[in-house]
Amino acid sequence: MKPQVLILGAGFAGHTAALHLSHLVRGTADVTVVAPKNRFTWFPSLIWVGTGTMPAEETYFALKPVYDKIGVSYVDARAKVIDLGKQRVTVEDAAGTKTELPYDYLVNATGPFLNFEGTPGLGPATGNSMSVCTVEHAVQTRDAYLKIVRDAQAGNRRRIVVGVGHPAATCEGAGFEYLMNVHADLKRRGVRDRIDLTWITNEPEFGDFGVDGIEALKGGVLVRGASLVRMILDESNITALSGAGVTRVEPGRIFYEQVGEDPGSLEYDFAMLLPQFRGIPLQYLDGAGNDVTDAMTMPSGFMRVDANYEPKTYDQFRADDWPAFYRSPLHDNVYAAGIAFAPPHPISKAKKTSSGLTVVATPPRTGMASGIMGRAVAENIAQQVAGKKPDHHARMSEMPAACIASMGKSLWSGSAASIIMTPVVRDFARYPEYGRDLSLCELDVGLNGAWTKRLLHSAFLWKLQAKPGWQLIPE
Amino acid sequence: MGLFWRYFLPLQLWRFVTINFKMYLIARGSLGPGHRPR
Repeated sequence: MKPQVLILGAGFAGHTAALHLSHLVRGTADVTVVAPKNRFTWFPSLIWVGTGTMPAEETYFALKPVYDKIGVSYVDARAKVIDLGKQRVTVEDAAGTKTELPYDYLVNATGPFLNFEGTPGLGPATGNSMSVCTVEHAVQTRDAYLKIVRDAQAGNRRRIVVGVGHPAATCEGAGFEYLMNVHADLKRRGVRDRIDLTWITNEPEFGDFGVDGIEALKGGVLVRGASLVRMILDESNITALSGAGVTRVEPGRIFYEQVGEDPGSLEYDFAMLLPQFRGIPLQYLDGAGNDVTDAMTMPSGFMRVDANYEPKTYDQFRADDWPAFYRSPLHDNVYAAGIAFAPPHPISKAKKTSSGLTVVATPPRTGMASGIMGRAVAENIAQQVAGKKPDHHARMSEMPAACIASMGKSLWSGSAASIIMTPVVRDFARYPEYGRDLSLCELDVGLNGAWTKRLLHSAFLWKLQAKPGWQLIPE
Repeated sequence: MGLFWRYFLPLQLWRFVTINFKMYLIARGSLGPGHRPR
């Protein structure tokens, strides 16, 4: 019987791993993907769904036909229990039916649990704040946003707050994109002057994006993301709060604590606040029925891999704290890729408010980073299946990341910030001055970014549907 | 309109091509510190 490769999750990391494994282990192993809803969502475009500028249907596709085409089995269910001793995963489908699936190699790519409960009153379920983290959320957000637009068109003044809804939230870049798309959309509809727009973020300074800031050389001059974002916010007449952790949301009012300031609150009519991410709740067993979840995961619920989890302060962070292979130190056939792996520590500097609340932008590991991890894991499993020692490494302190932050969708009058950083996590041993190779960093704002954002949407949906030539498009 | 066609659009096209080419080379591992996902 062929070895069984089981992939839990079909987001950027899981789906990329499945695509590559489909040909890397063709004929030598069976690959199965377990994911709910039979859907791959191109999350970067949900910010456009949330402003009503892109139909939701353009952001996702059905997974099963893609897996049928590439010879991968698909199970429409969620993983619940991983028995590491028996090498079996219990999965549950939408009807509540449980099934056990065997594995020889396991990839945990289950993505984030959206921890709205981490902030009292936060999230679409409460009706207080919106989110663009899922297709359903983005559609709800669009409807609520368009109602505010109609109010403004009727001559009323309205207040919109966009940002992150937890002191330790991540994905500030996505929040910033939504903010700037709201700004561009309101201008396009001629009601920007009737809307007070506020940006609230847990980043220690604007433009940090959870990666300790960005910088690039422009004509030999160092340009920092912090000054660029500050300039964009000022030019767009957006009130902005940095170092702010939202502590509670009530109808019409958001409460926060801010580093170096007294606690405060914001009034709002519409709020889009991203939640904290935690690991998907999974139970790990040792084969004898004993629960070993604590040994396999960090308190955040993310899975421990080959990282250095020793507690450290910002000055003690090292590039090689970050995992290279995304493999469990306890089980060499179990991997975690994408958001599912536990980062060793933040990339950005954590700060405390006067009450002692820690405010920190936690590490983003979505999109390109997740895709690279998924590919590295696929290559390593293929090596293990072939009886070789896995040697494909992709530390976040050695991998690049590109991010196109949309600031208006139009291909004619839109704009976007094109950001490249190499590597994502600063490596001061290799690059003593800035921790990054500035010749391989980029920071540009303009119409060309809007074209790139659209190009990436189309190119990656092509690649991820395994259409002809998909291997030519890198992660 | 003249300035748009003569300066702005060519500049944006140039930035589009150069940034995307750089991004492509970095993403495929031809440039950079040597992560080896492939």
